[in-house]
Amino acid sequence: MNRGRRKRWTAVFAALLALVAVFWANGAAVSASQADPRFGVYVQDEAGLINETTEILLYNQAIWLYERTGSAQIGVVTVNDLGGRTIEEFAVARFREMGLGSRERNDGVLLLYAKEENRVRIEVGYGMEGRINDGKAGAILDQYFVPYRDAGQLNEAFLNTQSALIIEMAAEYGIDASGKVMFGEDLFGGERFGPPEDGYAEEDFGFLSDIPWPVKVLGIAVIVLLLFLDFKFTGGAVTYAILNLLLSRGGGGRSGGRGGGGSSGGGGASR
Amino acid sequence: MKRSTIGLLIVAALIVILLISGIGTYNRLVSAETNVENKFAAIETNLQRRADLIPNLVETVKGYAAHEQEVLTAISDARARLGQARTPEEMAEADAALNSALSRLLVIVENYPNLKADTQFTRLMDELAGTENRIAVARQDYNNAVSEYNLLIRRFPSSIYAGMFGFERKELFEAREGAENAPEVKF
Repeated sequence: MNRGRRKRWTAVFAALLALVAVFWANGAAVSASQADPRFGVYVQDEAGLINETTEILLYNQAIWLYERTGSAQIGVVTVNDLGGRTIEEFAVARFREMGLGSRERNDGVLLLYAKEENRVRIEVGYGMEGRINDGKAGAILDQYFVPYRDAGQLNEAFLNTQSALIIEMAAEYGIDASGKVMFGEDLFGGERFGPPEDGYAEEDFGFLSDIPWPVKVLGIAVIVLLLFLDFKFTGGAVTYAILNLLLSRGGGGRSGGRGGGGSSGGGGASR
Repeated sequence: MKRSTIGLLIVAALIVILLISGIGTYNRLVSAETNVENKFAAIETNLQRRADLIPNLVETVKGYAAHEQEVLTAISDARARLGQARTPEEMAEADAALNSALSRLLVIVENYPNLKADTQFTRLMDELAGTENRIAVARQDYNNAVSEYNLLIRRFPSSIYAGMFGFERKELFEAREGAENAPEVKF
C-alpha cells in the first residue's frame, strides 16, 4: 500500500493505544482517590488509613479465602466520609457496586470504615447471613474492631476483624481457617501465613494457560483480523465500545480482582 | 398472483408481527410483575423476622425495666397490628407505628446502664437494627421494581397489551402521613 495509507493506519493504531491509556487512567481515577488497584475489590483504602504491610496481608488473606472457597469474597474499604448518607445506606450501595461474592451464592462480606464519621460496618451478603448473623457481626466488631479503633490502632483493627470474618466465612465451606489467618499479635512474629512455598502454580491462573498454542495463535489472528475490519468499516466504533465496556466495569477492581456479582440485602452490624 | 391473495398475505404478515411483539411484551410484563412480587415477599419476610424478634426483646427489657409498661405495651400492640396487615399500605403504617414505639424504647434504655451492657440485649438490638435495615433495603428494592413495572404498563405500545392482559398498576410501599404516631395508650 502507498505511504499515505500506511501513515493513516499507524495514526489509527496510535489513537487506539492512546484511547486505551485514557480509559485505563480514567477508570482508576474515577473509582478511588487513593485505593491501590493492585488489590482489586479486596482492599480499597481510599482514606489512606492502612499501611502497606497490612494492605498486602489483608489482600493475601482475602485471595486465599476466594481461592479456597471458589467464590467467597471479603472486601475491606475505607472512605473519607459518607457524603451525607448513613453508613447502612452507603454500605449496601457500595457492596452491590463491588459485587462481592458470586452471583449464585452471594457469599460476600464488606468491612467498611468511614474516617470522618468514625463509623464501621460489616455488611453481609445474602448467602452469608446464615453463618454471620447480625448479632455475630456486632459481636465481631465489639471484640476485634472497636477496642483497636478506640486505641488508635486501625491496622490491627482491620486485620483482626478481617481475620475473624474469614474464619467464619471459611467455616461456612467446612474449611478451618484458624491456623491460616493472622491477628495483630502475630504480625511481627508469625510465619503462619503467606503465599504457597513454591509460589503460585501456572494452573492457578485459569483456563487461558491450558489452551493449546495453535489455537491461541489462531485466536490472536482472528482478533487482529476483526480489529482491522472494524477500523476499516466503522472507524473503530465497535472496538472503542467494547473497550469502554471492559475497562469501566468494576472501576478500580480490574487488575487485582473483580467482584463476582453478589448482592446484599442490608444484613450486618454497625458500630 | 391475484390482488386479493397479496392483500391476504399482507394482512397475515401484519397479524404475525403483532402476535410476536405481543408475546415479547407479555413476557416482559410478566417478568416485571414477578420481580415486584419477589421484592414484596422480601419485605414480608423481614417484617415477619422483626415481629419474631420483638417478644425476645420485650422479655429481656422486662428483666431490667419492668415498670416501663407503657412503651412495652405499645410495642406489643404495634406488632399485633403488623401481623394483621394485608396490603402494602397497611403494612407500611403498622411498620411506622412499630418504629416509633421502638425508638421510644431506645430512649428509655439509656436510663438503664445494666440493660445496655447485657450481652443478650446487645445481640438482640443488633439483630433488630439489622432487620430494620433489611426492611429499608427491601422497601427500596420493592419501590424500584414497582416503578419499573408501572412505567412499563403506562408506556406505549406496551400499555395496549397491559390493558388487554389485565396488568394493573401497583402501589408503592409508603406510609400515610401521621401513621408514625402510635395511638396514645390511656389509662
